[in-house]
Amino acid sequence: MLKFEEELENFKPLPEIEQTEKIINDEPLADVTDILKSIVEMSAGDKKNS
Amino acid sequence: MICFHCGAQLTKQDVCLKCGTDVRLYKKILATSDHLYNEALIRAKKRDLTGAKDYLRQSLQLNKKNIPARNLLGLIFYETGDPAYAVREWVISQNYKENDNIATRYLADVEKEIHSINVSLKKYNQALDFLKTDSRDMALVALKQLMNRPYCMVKARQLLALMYMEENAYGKAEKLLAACKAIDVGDMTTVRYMEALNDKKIVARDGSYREAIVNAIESGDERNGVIIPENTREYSSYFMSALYVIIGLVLGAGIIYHMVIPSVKSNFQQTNTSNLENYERTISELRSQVTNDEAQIDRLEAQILALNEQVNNTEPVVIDQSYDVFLPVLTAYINDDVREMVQAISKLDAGVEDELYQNIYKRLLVDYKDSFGYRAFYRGNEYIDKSYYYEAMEQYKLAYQLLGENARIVYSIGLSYEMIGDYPMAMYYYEYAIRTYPDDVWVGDSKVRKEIILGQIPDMEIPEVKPGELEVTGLEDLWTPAASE
Repeated sequence: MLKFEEELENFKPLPEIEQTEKIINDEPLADVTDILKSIVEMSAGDKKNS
Repeated sequence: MICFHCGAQLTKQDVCLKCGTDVRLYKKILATSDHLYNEALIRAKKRDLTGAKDYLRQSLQLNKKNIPARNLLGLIFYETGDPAYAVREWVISQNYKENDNIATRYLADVEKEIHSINVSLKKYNQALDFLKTDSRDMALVALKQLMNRPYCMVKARQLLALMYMEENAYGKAEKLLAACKAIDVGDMTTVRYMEALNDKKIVARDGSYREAIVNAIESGDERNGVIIPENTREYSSYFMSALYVIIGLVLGAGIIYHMVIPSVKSNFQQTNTSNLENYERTISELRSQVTNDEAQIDRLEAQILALNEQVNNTEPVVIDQSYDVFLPVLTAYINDDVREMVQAISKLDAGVEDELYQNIYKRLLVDYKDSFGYRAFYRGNEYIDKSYYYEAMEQYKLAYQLLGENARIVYSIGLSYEMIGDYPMAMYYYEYAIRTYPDDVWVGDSKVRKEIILGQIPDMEIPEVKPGELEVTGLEDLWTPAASE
């Protein structure tokens, strides 16, 4: 059984195309290869120090 | 594939040959990202866009530079009605790979429709605002208007379906949800709403859902499922019903024959009689009119004879034919044929000593280049719209000869070459426009067309051009008025 007011809460306003810049800046773009890269760089740094 | 640490090209080895980094895990991550993209593609082809989106997000979490995955995700966002997120993905994709990337074309297409898309988004957001202030009628109007727009979002259809279900207009809601399902079979909101709709369907005798629900509520019967009405009729009663129908038809036919037809016949005869009287009256009026006309004809014939005698006794008047020389120019002007106009003007005699003649002739020369040049250019545009590309090219080259070189004419000649499939020539003109007029507003179109050609033929060589030295082939000898004229 659907309840109209409850379902209405699930509908949020859609951003317009001019707001794309804000969407790009708000969401992070890191991926697993970035994490892998930072791990490799950290371990390379540890080796130098030791 | 390049090394994530030093940027060197990787081989089949498990280590980078330049920096020695172990790249086994890295290669596995990229391979998994590609695998998730393939899974997403399978789902997208089956229209399970929600499922495809999940796989693509995972693919990009592993490798953010997976260009096909990012482009496909943007396409799915666009299809389901999130154009801003679609543009986001394509802009990021273009940032990672500028050349030979279909995201460039997607962005160009969206830019052409940006106004229409924004209007649709505004209407949807407006409808939500109306619902927040409890103005349901206004929200309904806004959403219905949105349904007729070229770009409509899945969420808008779902919201309107929800409103219809609230008003018990289940037929309308079902149509909207079917449209949502056709776009994305995996959207859970659509699935939930369709299940809720099916729960409300109760088979009634006459198929009326509203009546069945009202009856169920009044009788206190709130069972879920199908209510089947009782049927206690016996087989033989059908035969009796058919017999009663036949007897009724026979009796009805007899009543019609004995009571209705005689009165129809008598009405018909009365109408015929009055029509006959009217026709006789009309014939006698026409006869008297013919007699009057014959008398008038006799009088007019006598007048003609008198006038003819008068004409024969008068001396003829000589009409000056000199302005007939402008008729070819006028004819070409009416036919909008610039080449014919030029040829007609070239045949005019510049030395005629008549003030009016000289005024007309000089005016033609003043308007010669600019006016005719623009006519040729706009004629070229008309031909392009009608797909007559060779004719368009001819008109653009004529405009070039009359108006001279500018970025718009160079671009237009290039476009006509592209439309007939001569891509090397088209690229020459686009490249020339870009190099010679870098700040001109028409250079943007040359850049877009160039990218489109390169998208289709990535290996095409960019021709060498000398800015300021355009070589236009296929020009005809065009008459040019002498300086003294």
